[in-house]
Amino acid sequence: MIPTRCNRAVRASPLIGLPAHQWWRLTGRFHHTPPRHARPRWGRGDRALVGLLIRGLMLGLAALLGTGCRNEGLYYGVVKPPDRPELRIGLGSSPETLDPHRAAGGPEDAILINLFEGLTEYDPETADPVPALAEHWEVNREATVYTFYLRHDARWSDGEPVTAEDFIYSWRRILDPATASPNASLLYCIRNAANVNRGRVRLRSKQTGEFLTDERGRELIIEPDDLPNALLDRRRVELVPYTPEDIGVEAVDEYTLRVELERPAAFFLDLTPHVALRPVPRRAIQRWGDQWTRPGHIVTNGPYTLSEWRPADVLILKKNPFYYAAKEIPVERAVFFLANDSMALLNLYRVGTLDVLATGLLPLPYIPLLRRYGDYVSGPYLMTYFFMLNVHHPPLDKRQVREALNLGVNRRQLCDRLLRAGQRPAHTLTPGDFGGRYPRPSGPLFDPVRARDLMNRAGFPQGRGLRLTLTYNSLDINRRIAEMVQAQWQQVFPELQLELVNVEWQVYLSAMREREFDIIRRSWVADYKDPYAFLELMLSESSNNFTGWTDPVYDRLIHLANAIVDPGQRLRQLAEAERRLIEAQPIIPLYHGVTFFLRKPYVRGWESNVLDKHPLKFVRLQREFGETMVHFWQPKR
Amino acid sequence: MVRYVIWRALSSIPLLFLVITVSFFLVRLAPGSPLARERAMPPEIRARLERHYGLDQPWSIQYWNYLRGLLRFDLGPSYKQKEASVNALIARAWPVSATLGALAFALALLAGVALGCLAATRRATFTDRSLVFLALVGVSVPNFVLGPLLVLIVSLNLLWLPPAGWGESRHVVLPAITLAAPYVAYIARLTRAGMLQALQEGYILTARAKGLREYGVLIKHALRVGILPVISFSGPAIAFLVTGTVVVERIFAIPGLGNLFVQAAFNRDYTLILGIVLVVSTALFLFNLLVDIIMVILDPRIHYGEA
Repeated sequence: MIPTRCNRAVRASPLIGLPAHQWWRLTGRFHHTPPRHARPRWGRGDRALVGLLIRGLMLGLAALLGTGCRNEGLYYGVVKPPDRPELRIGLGSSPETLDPHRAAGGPEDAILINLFEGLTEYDPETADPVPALAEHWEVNREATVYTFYLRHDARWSDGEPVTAEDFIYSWRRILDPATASPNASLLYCIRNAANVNRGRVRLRSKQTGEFLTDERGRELIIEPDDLPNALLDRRRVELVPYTPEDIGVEAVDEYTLRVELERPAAFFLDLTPHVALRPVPRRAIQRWGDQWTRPGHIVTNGPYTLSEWRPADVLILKKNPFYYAAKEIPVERAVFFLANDSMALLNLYRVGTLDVLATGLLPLPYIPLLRRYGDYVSGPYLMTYFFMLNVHHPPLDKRQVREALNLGVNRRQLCDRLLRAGQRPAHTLTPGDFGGRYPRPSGPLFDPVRARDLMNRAGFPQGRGLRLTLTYNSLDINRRIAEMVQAQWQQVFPELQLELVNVEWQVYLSAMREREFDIIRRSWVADYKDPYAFLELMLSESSNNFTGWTDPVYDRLIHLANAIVDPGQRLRQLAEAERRLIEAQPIIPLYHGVTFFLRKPYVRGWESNVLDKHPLKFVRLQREFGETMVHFWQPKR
Repeated sequence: MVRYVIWRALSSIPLLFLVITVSFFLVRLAPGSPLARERAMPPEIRARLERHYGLDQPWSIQYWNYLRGLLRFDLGPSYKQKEASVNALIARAWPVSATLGALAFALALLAGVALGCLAATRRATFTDRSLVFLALVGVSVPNFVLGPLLVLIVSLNLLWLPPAGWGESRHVVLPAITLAAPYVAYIARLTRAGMLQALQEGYILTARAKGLREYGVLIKHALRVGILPVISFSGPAIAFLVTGTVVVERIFAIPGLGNLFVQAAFNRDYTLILGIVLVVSTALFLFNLLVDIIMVILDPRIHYGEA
């Protein structure tokens, strides 16, 4: 007899559609007695024997194929703490590089935050910056000068001390145009950083030796593209390109770093734990050049150092003995599994080879099943999934049409019926998860009546004559979202002709860059914990604003807001800018994301936070957590 | 014979050149770029990266530079794996695929030939019929069904073998079986057909008439000829097996050439795609040549180059 506690598992198995009791019925005796002439010629005993045989066979098959009874219960799969203090993490795709200045984010960040330590570190629960290399810091009244006091006992893994000079070298390196860092623009709030990175040029008078300024006293700057056209008297004026030495950082002394900002930027502190602002090893880079990130060459200042890296296989970190708090770090070794296939990773997690399966790696159809187990951890994430509208393509140039489309999307249905992992309907670009500090404007809700009305007034009654395309990259989730929105729009505007364009990743990227779309899916993850991380996306100068919508008022509101020292007032001003954005409607926000990962019950300190950052130095393993303990835990329902 | 081999080797060079040329331009014709990513870079930085990799130059110059690198056996840098060269990436992935492929092929050959002989000698019996049926099943069940099924039973329920990964000997078992299954079936069918034909030949009658033991007749005389179709099939088969199989490597998360190739194609990692194409086509050519040589050794009726 199949134990009843297994029923759920068998029903959940993708291979066996039948619940256990129905399997049983298949093999059971018939309930009615056939007429005498139809009865088989074998005796009762034979029939019982054959029945028993079949039942045995079925039972064996069910046990083999079904998710099985072994280790099933409150946790998904085998719960067995590792024999040594080691954490095994399913990470997904391989990092492209371990150079923090050339990395573009994603899988790299998860590894790099453990190799390199910055001024501050992400708090594992709130993702707020907590002191790391900087023991404390000061900000001047205008929020333009930050002074960081570094700890004296920090060392690189080659034994050399970590000093303010290391930060200066690193920030100059990332901003140097020769490095071509994709993350350099994160540092643009530092004085002259943008000028250096974009290769701008100033003018110096040959007579006085001073830089030329405009009537307001600001230095005259020429963009590199404009240089050939600039009419200059070369006998009187010389061109001086900005060099990395010009950026506003200086070492007051060996352990004091002074940062001068271009303009007040209240979010600067939130930026400091970002990988792009963490120091890189000067001596190793000078010695090894491009090859400095190899195991054996790499020098790190974080709690871990690189032990082994086999691309597309595993990446292993081991504790850095020179780290100032090395003794207090419980996890000695971390193994990142770099498999691309989420099914393979889930299987590895299930047999107990992985302790953590990071966010974004759970196969979508498994989420309703996995949510029932104690391993499943989920929380708000600073991520927004939205559609970008090409406002240059008629009829999307009409605000009424854009607004009508926006009002015709039922996000609640999208989140509850399709996504089902706790995602929240989005009415704005910015999620509300900034500790309740951001007075997020309220976006328009689902309103089919008003949507239809607006569409009528725009000249497309019932959507008649409206032909649009919706482009997305071929991932199951994107396809399903597009299909659901298509169906919703079809109900509100029955005569709308919406063509879904499912393209491969690279085609999608080039369609976006070339603006060959009407509506295109997009998602955005915040780099740091501030609404500006979302709002900067829609600035006119942003290289990621593909809508064609630009609004000088929006830009000015944002820049004014960032100049406000008082945090509350600044956020109110940002919210004002966002309200303007929503009214213009160049985007249709769909949902705000959630982090969702699997974590064995003996892992502590790998918590859900809004940036999905998990510094290993805070992770503990309860290795006394025995298999027997599992049964005393109550499952989530 | 020697002249034939040399001629074949020389004639392969223009062929490989053609393969490289066509692939070179095809990958560039596909939309996208190795530098594209979801977050667009500022145009200045993108331009600088393109200059760094020489992607801003016209295709003809890029092509010329690539060919010059090839002469020095330099397949260039990978655009996506920033610190690695294509040579290094292939050198790392190729042994993995080769190990797996060789094991799978050995398994396929041993099991396939043995089952094929068994079926041929027990012709038209229950054993034969069920083996023929099994072979049909083996050929028809795709490996993306067999692989997960094996994982489900052997790894997830019985916890006998790891469901994925690479590095230890126990990691090889399931992927090798999955990979070998259709080949076992196909080789069994080929062997059976070949043996059936061979057993009807006159020299078998002679051998039997000489009073040789049946076992000797089968192995020494019939199998030697009966296995020829299998050998000629083996050339391309082994070439494909040892150069990585996309599906199986993905299911079992094996860091081999097949996995690398898929990623390279998605990322438009031009140099890596070309490098793998070159390796696979060279392997295909080599194994075909090897098979032709083995055929001559096995079957004295075959001659090359003397006609």
